[in-house]
Amino acid sequence: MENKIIQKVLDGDIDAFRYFVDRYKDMAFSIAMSMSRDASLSEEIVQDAFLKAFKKLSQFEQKSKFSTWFYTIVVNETRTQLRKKKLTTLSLSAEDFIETDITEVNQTISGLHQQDQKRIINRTLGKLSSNESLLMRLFYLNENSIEEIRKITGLNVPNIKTTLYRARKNFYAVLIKEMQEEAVVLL
Amino acid sequence: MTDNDIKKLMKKSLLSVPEKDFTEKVMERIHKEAVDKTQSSWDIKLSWLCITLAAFALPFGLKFIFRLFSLYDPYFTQYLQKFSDNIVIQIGFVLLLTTILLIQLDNLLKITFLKHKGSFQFIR
Repeated sequence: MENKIIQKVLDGDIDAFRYFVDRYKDMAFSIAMSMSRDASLSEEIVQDAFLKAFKKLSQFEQKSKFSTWFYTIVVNETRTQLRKKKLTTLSLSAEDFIETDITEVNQTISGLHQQDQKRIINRTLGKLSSNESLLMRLFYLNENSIEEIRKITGLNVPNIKTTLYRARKNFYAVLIKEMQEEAVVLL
Repeated sequence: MTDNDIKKLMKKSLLSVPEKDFTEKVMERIHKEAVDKTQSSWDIKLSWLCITLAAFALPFGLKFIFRLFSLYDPYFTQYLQKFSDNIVIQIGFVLLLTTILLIQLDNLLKITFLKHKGSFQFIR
């Protein structure tokens, strides 16, 4: 279906491109946010990425999914923008956090309102390093395979696996801390 | 916590673009880009036509202009004769015109090549 829409756009039906904007804008924004931690910058990045994708659509060989190709543009665009603005992101290690019973946390978070769950999870991701946060979103949220992640991020497979392992560990640890802080605020 | 548990939690991490008319903004930029590309595509074609005409018509054009000037000013031909007899001026003039033409041709080739690299298929 997407191939047909791409062909329509290439044949001159520019408005057909709206489908891709509507479908991929939120995930693209989530990816950019993982790396930049800045909402207005991420929005700008996603806009530029869509424009770039439109300009280069004739070069898309359709060997991979459109989303994989497009998210590669988003990742590269974010890196370029961060380099331009000389921004860096926070990097944490699991050792910085205290290990607690994750089952308890899981139960607690399930009892929260959906909006609060979303806020806490995103705050947790915001405290991971940009690569960890990005890989977590690609692997668990967008359900990309390791091979697709390799194409999108340009990282090699062992690096992806190691970062994912570390990301999972840090995610638990930060989530626990976030939940504890949330509980203190509620009390 | 299993991978499935993380997946369930992570499914809640999708962020929405804060700007309400984000899609409209993007589409507006895309439309503008397409118009600009079409315009520049037309400009490049026109430039190629002009440069080709200039390359072929330059000798004839010069002759025509000199003839035109001579009609209004009979001394013009005599005045011009002094210059046209000088071989250095002649060569210099030809070299100057050739250089200008080659520079323009080089610029046009670069622009055309750049355009083709990132062009849309629908702009013909």
